[in-house]
Amino acid sequence: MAEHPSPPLMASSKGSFTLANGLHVCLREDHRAPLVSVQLWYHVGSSYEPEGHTGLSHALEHLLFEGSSKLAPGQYSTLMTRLGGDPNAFTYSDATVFPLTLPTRHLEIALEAMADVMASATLGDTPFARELAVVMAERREAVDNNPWALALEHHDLLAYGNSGHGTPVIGHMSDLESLTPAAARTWYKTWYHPNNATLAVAGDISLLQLQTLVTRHFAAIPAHRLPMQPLPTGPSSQGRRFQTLRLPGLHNGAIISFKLPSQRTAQSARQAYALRLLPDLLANGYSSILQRRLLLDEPILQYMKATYEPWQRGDSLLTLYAFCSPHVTPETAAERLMQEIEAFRQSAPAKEHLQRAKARLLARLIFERDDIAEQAQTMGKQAACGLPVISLEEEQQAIETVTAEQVGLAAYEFLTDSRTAFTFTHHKESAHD
Amino acid sequence: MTDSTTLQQPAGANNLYGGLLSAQGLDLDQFETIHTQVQAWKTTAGTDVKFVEARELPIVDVILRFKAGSTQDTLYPGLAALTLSMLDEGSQAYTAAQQAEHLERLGAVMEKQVRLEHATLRLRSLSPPSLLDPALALLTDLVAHPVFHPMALTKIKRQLLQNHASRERLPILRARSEVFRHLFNGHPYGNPLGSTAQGIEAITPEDLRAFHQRAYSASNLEMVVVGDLSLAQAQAISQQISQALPQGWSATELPAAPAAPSATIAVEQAGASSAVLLALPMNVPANDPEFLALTLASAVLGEGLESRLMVELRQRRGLTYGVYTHVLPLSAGGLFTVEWEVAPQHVQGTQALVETLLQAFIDEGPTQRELQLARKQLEGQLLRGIAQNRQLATLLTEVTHQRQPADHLDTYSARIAELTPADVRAVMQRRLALSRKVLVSVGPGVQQQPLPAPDQ
Repeated sequence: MAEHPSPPLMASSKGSFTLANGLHVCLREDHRAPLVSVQLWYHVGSSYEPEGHTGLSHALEHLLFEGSSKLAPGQYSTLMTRLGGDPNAFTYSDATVFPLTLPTRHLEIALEAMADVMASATLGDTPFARELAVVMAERREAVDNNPWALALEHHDLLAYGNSGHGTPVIGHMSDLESLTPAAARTWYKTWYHPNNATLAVAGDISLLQLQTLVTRHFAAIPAHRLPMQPLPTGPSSQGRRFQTLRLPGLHNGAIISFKLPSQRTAQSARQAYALRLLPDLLANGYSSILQRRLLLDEPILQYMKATYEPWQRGDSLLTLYAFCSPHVTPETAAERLMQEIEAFRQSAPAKEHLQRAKARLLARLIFERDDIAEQAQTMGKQAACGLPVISLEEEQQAIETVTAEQVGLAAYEFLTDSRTAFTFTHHKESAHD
Repeated sequence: MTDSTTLQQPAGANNLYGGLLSAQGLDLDQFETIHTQVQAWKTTAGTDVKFVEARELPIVDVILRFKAGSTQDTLYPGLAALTLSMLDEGSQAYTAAQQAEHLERLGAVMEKQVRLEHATLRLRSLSPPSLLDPALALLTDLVAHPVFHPMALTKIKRQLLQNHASRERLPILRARSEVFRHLFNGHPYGNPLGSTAQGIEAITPEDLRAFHQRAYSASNLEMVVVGDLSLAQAQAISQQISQALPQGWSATELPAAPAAPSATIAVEQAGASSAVLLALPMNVPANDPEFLALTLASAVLGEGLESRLMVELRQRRGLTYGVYTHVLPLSAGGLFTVEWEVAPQHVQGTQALVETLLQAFIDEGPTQRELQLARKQLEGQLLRGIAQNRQLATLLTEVTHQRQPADHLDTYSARIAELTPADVRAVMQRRLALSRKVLVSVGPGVQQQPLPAPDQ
């Protein structure tokens, strides 16, 4: 078995242009199938929402295809399905996204529909009331009836404090109850403009063809002045924060976050790429440093993983999720975890650990290429946090060249006690158990 | 834009494309041509293999599907799940830690899944031989030569029990379990978790070895390979894996599922909303000519924002985030299901509404327009699916498992285009009967209230 075989470098054909009205368009060509993934990313999401108006971006997302100058309510979804597409919509903390993958020969129809909605969504009172009821049902089903989702919502609020990224995308129920159609219309008038959007496209089309179609349908929509929006920075060294949740159905465990720069807020590209290796190095995979120590050698945990969202306007989090072995309390487990983190912080990672983390991250970047929708999504995320779209070759080379010292420096600076938020989760026996 | 609440009908809103100029004059009903270059063979040890060469990306996907699901272990419920879970807990050549370390260093990803009728392993690796060859060697070793350490078994047993407890607390999964327990009482499908606490307790490493010797036989395996390699390489890989496995055993057919009486089951459990499930027994295997009509019926009724149930429950009444129908083909009898979540006071109201809508649909069948939308929806799903190596591998695995003809994917669109509204109605009337329904709800017990009027 070769010591550290390198994954192959991937050439990719990408391009971008910006219309005079500010609409930014990026393309990654992929001619494996006669399909194209076209995703309209509006640069607005839950992190933009003022206090008391949580859930506004997501509620507006639900309303957007309820009629426009050329389309009756619901017609977008029916027509795109009829064309062989999969119309969908998502709200994130930094963006509201309308993705669609369909046969390339029907792309123009999709672009015309998306442009019509950008310029002339109806946003009537009747669909607003009904979609608000649907959003409340969604919240009950996806969050309030799911102890793990509730724990994550509480944890994000603790970890991000009053910075916008802690705002739950779906909104607090109390805020949803007072949302008005007028607020949704104002939100639309404020943010749904070509100069606040990115069209991310991946698939079987050339830049020239795309430029012709996008210009034809979007160029006439006027740009609009956007409000000043400071970057959400998150809590500044508030020190260690704790909370404890007891709910039926929760695993005994701990959710631990460290406030870290995102790829946008990192001080340098070197630091940014070093941070991206932390989840695999520390906690993802059975031979990661923490799993080896705390699941295998001294099995106080029975499950763990780590996440880090690289594409965020403001600072991000490295979050560890740990489930305890029987007879181990969440508090004890968290303390042992922090000892291991501190040991990791004090010395640069061993070469073989770093190689392993790089191999996993690099392989995932190539695996992601299998799906044009994922390719477009990555470009959209980068654009929504204010970064230029990065080519895969560039990303691969940058990851290859990260050194153990750079990872060590980043860990030393950011994996500190004062940047942590802890949520201890306890299973509570319910009356019916 | 005005704040007016009256919706102005856009020009041409009654036709399919509204006022969209670029859609005028196009033939939207034209079907795409699908042609997948599938190579199929059987290894000397009796493994069925399907292969698609896809050179554009440096990726190889391998799927191993054994007929080693939980219906094969009724003597010791839990044996199938434990055996699969124990495969990467150490082999004769490597410890569990070494297995993980080697795979992770290669960037390769392995996933395992056990269901009623199969146990499946997937490997995704980059294709350069320096990465692919060792990843395949590890996969072959762990699936062919597991050691079943008693210590690891204790740990895996505990995890399986916890996993079951968590599953049973999730309302919709609990509802599905109740349906299976009722409809398939006394049949191997009647234990949807695939294990019992007593079964798990009693199982020894010796039992796992005996099960592995049979159920992980080469002749009990279906293999799919998709990606950046030649036919000769794929053939060599299939030989290598099937030679390494135990030999000579194949799962037998299950007995047909018995008929069960209709039932209404309400499970009381604290929560913010209730999960509701309506299930009809549907004894139509996936390779039955009538199955395709039921797939179309499900798409019209409850797959997508514009499906009948979604329009009635969500668009017209705002009662739920989603209502979904599903056809589940099993070899010895399957299910047609409708699932939704709703505020606890509207469980019975929505159950009655869904029943009424379902009965009307069975009586009348779909309209031509609904059927055409469903055809294009299914065709679009297939086009997007076969465009990805990973999803193509999944589809080929299902096609093999369901014993579909070799040209199943290529002829799919043509076959759904041929079915008329009358065909779909006739099949539903033959195969679905509301008199055999099972209704399950999981949620808090509260006073029931009438549904709000539609279109408010």
